[in-house]
Amino acid sequence: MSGGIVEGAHVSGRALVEDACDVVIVGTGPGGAAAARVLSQAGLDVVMVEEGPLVPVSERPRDMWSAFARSWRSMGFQVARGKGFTPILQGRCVGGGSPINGAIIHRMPEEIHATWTREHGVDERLSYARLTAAFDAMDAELRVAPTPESAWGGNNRLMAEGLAALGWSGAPTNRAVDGCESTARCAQGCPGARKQSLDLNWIPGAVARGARVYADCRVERVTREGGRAGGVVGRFRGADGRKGPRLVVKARRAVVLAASAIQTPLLLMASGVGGRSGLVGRRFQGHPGSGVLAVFDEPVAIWDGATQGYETKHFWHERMKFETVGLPPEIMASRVPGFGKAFVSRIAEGKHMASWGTQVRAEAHGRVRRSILGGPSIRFSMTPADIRVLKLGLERVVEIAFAAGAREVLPGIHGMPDAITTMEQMRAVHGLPDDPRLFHGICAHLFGTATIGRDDKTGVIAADGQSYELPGLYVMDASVFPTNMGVNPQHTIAAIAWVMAENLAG
Amino acid sequence: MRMTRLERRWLLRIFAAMVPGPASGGFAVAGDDVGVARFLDDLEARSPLEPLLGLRIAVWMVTLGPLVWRLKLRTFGRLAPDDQVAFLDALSASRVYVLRELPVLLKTFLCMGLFALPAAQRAIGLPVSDEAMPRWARPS
Repeated sequence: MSGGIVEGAHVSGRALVEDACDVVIVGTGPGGAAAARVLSQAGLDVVMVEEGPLVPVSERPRDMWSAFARSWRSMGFQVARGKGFTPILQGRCVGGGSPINGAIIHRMPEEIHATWTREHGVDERLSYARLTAAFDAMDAELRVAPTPESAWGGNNRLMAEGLAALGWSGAPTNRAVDGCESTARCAQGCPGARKQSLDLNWIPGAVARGARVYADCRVERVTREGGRAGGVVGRFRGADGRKGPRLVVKARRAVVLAASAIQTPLLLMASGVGGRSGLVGRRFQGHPGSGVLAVFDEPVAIWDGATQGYETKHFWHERMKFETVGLPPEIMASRVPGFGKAFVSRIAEGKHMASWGTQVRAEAHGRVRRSILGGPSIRFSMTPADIRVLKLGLERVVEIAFAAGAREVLPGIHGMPDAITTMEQMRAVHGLPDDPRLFHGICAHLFGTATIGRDDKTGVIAADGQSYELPGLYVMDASVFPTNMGVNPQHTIAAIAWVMAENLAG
Repeated sequence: MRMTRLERRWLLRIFAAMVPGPASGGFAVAGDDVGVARFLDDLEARSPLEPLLGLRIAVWMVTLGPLVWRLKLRTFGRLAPDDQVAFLDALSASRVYVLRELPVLLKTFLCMGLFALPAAQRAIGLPVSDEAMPRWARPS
C-alpha cells in the first residue's frame, strides 16, 4: 500500500474514513515514531493516528503565541492542579513534542534501569543491553552530538564559565541537531529544520515504506476483535474545531498506544482496559522545574545561540539537573518582575539577561483522570522534600550565575526580593515554607499512569509493552515508566518503544 | 466565548498600566497598542475555554479590586497611573495565592502579544525585520 499523510482538510465532507493494517499506532511522538520506524522497517503495514496537525517547516511561526496555537497542547495552557497550578507542557502535532522541545538527548541512567529491573518487573525483554543497542542506532540516525561551541551564544557560554569557576562539572548538551543555526527557536519549531524532530525523519521514513499517517484525528477508543485489540476508532477535526468524519482502523496484529502519559491512560479508561490493577492514571510523575533570570553587564542576547546548549548533572544524585533555557522574548518578558516603569526599565535590559533552570526528579506522585469536560484532569503537587530540592537547585543555579559574573539575579520566588545581588540574599529561600505556590514552575517531562509491573496487580503493562488485560494492545510511551529518571526523557521513550517494537515484530 | 466590549476596554487599561507607552515616558510600545488589540482578537478566536475564562475573571477582579481591597470608590481604570501600578504590585505580593496569580496571568497574556511585535522586540535588543510581524498582528 502506498503511504501518505492524510490531514483533516483532506477528508472534510466525508462521513467515514476506513483503513486496515498490521499495526495501528496512536500518537506520533518519540514512542510512536520509534515504533513506526522499527515496525515499518520490519515489513509490517503501519497506520499512525495523530490528534494534532502536520506543521510543515515552512509554516513554523516566529512568535510563541502562534506556535502555542499550532503545535502545543491546549495552547500551552494545560495545568496540573494541586496545592497550586503547575503548567504541564506537551506538544500536539505530528512528531509530538519533538518539533518543539530542546532536542536534548540523554540515555536512561543505568541505575534507574537497575531499579526498574529489581523492583518493577522489567526483564530481559527490555534489558539495558537491548536499550543500549537502540540508543546507538538512534544516535546515528538522529545525528546526536554535543552542542558545538559555535552555537553556544552568550546564554550557554556563561553557564559554562560559571560552572568552571565553581569547579562543578558541566558539558555542552547532547542534542539531535544537525548544524544548529543558533536561532534559539526550538520552542516554535526549528525554522531551518536543523533539529532532527521526528516529523522530519522517522515518520517520513515510515511513510516512504507505506505507512499512512492520519493527522487532526483524535482516537476515542480501542476496539476489540475476538478477545483481542482489533483497532481504533476516532474522529477528525478541522482547523476550526468542527467535527469531521469518523476514522475506523482495523489492526490485524496490534494496537500501540503512544499518546503520552496524559492521553494514554484516558484512552485505556475509555476502552475499558487496565481496571484490574487499579493503576491506570495513577503513579503520574514528572520533572517539575523552575528558573531564574540573571542580568550581566555584558550583552547575553539569549535569542542568539542554541536554545538549550549547556547543562550540568553534577548534582544528579541529589535529584537535580541544571540547564540553560533560551526563552523566547515573550516568555522572558513575562518572567521579568514589576509593572509600569519598573517593568519597563528592567525589560530594557533584556539583551543582558540569561535564563537558566533546574529540573527536579520529584518523588511526588499525581493522578490523571478524565474531567467532566472530557479532557484530562491532572492532579500533581510537589512534596515538601521536592520543594527543598527545588530551593537548593535554584540556590545553586544562582551561585553559577554570580560565579559567571552576573550583576543581579531575578529569582521569581514569592517572598523574596524581585532582584538579588548576593548569595546571602538567595540563601534566604531556605527560610520560606516548603510550598509549591511560592515558585513559578513548569513540568514538561511526564511519566507513569500505565506502568510496567510484574503482574496485573502491580502494573498495567508487561515488560514487552503488552497489556495484561487485552492481548494485542501495547503501550509504548512514557506512561510505562515505573519511575522518573532525572534526565530528559525523549531518547529513553524512543529506545523503549524501539525495543518493544522489535519484540513485537519478532 | 468572546469578551464584552467593556471587558476588552478594562483589559486594555490594565495592559496600559502594566506597560506604559512612549507617550508617558515608558516602553517603545504601549500595553494597549493596536497590535496587542489584534492579539486579543486572535486570542478570543483560538484560546481554549478555560484560559479565556480565567482571563475574564482576572479582568473583573483587577478592575473591581480597588473597590474591594483598597476601599476606594474607584475602579482600576479610574486610579491615577502610579496608584494603578501600586495596586498591581500589592496584588502580586498578596499572601493569597489566587490573588497574586491574577496579575501574573494578565501579564503573561500581555507579553505573549506585546513582545511578539517587532517594535517591542527591537526595543529589548532583538534583531528583527518587518517581515517577522506575526500573522495575527497584520492589518486585515
